[in-house]
Amino acid sequence: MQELNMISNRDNMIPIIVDVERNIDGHQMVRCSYFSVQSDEPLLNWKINIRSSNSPIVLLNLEAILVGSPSNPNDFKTIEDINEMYDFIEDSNEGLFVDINDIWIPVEMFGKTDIEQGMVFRIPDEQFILLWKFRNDRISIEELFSDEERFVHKMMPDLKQKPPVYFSEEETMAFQKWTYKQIEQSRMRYNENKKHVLKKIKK
Amino acid sequence: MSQLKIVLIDVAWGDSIFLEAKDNQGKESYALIDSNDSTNYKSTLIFLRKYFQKKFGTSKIDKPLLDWVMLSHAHLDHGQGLKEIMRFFGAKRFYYPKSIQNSSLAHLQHYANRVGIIHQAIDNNRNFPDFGDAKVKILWPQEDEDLSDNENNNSIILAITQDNKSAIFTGDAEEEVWNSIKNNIPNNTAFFKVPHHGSINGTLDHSGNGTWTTKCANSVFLGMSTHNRPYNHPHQEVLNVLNNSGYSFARTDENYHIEVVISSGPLKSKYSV
Repeated sequence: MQELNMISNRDNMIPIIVDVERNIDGHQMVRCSYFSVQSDEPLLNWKINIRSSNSPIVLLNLEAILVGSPSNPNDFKTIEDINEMYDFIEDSNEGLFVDINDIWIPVEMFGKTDIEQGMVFRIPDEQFILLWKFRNDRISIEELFSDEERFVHKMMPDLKQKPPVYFSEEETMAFQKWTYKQIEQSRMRYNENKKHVLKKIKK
Repeated sequence: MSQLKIVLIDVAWGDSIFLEAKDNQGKESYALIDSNDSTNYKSTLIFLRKYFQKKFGTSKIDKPLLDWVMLSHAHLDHGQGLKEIMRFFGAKRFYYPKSIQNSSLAHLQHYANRVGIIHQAIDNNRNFPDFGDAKVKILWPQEDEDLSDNENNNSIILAITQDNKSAIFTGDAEEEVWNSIKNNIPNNTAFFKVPHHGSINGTLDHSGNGTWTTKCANSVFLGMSTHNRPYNHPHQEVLNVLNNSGYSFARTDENYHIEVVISSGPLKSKYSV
């Protein structure tokens, strides 16, 4: 029996990776990816555990946002942490897999001005959820930006002192190394599969 | 009769193009360029499931169903969801452009390495196999071209030619690319996907004049994968140039899925109005 524990943790900081910066309807925003666990099969034999009580459940769909690896729940410090995230989920043979989704974040929420593709930042879950609602059409862009209660107080509580989205240099390095590793492994596979790959027209 | 069917799937935001070829023996081949599926919006996955369920009369998939899957360029609105699509339908090959080091492309390479899908970066010096009876030619990127810092300009541009009529798939290529290759747009082009969702930089130069439009006859039918959010895609200036040039076009935000069939007869298009 697998367990889905409901643990109240207000300190979750979600890792996001920069894809591209764009102007959306007059607002400068950054599209970022984040990692989710998803399932393409119903998940049997699970139970949900809330406040010490539990009940068997059948999970039909799942989107669970990943914040770390089993060894380092709050950071991806190394290539191994990133590999472990994939292996932990996908080697379970439970129909689970890791995929990426996107989210848009106003540029002023970042603690940096030189935002580049591949940089890893961390965003608090409360702000993430509000932006997730915008991305998934639960709230409009007008509501996101015009609602002072939401945008100023909830999304930018102490912007002047501390930006809500902070740059994670160590994780940026880890993901850059991991990305390079995938390229290396792809080159290796390419050489192994040379008779099956597209050949050059001119030698 | 052999034919090439093209469907610009309405994904609301981003590109996703389904290709189906039928050769002279009636054998069918399937391919996909791009997707923008997220956990909550699986537009391409759902479209393909329904399409194949209707075609085969069953939801069972004989994997690998897709001959190839292509990522036009490494931006999320073109690549997210491809992993689940490859998981669900199976793919024999996965192609992508030479790109700057990119974690979302690495995510797909990781998957392809893990499950043994043959994959590679491609350029215009690669011999692409026929798709059904259709010939496939890569127009961009060029083998000797340096990678662009602007990932849009690393987009793969393909010409697929069926019965002497070409369909051009353009990714999000911008002015710089069109200045280099607009003269390579085949004279027999019958269908052209408007680049970069109808944005200004996909169609117009810095003076506001058309780029690829100068080498693409106005008899060519255009398809546009638009963005449904207020994002100026398609941009009114682009629509003005297309309208003033006399093109016929369909756009996914107004016409839903856009289907084009190329065969020995006249090009056929089908979309909601």
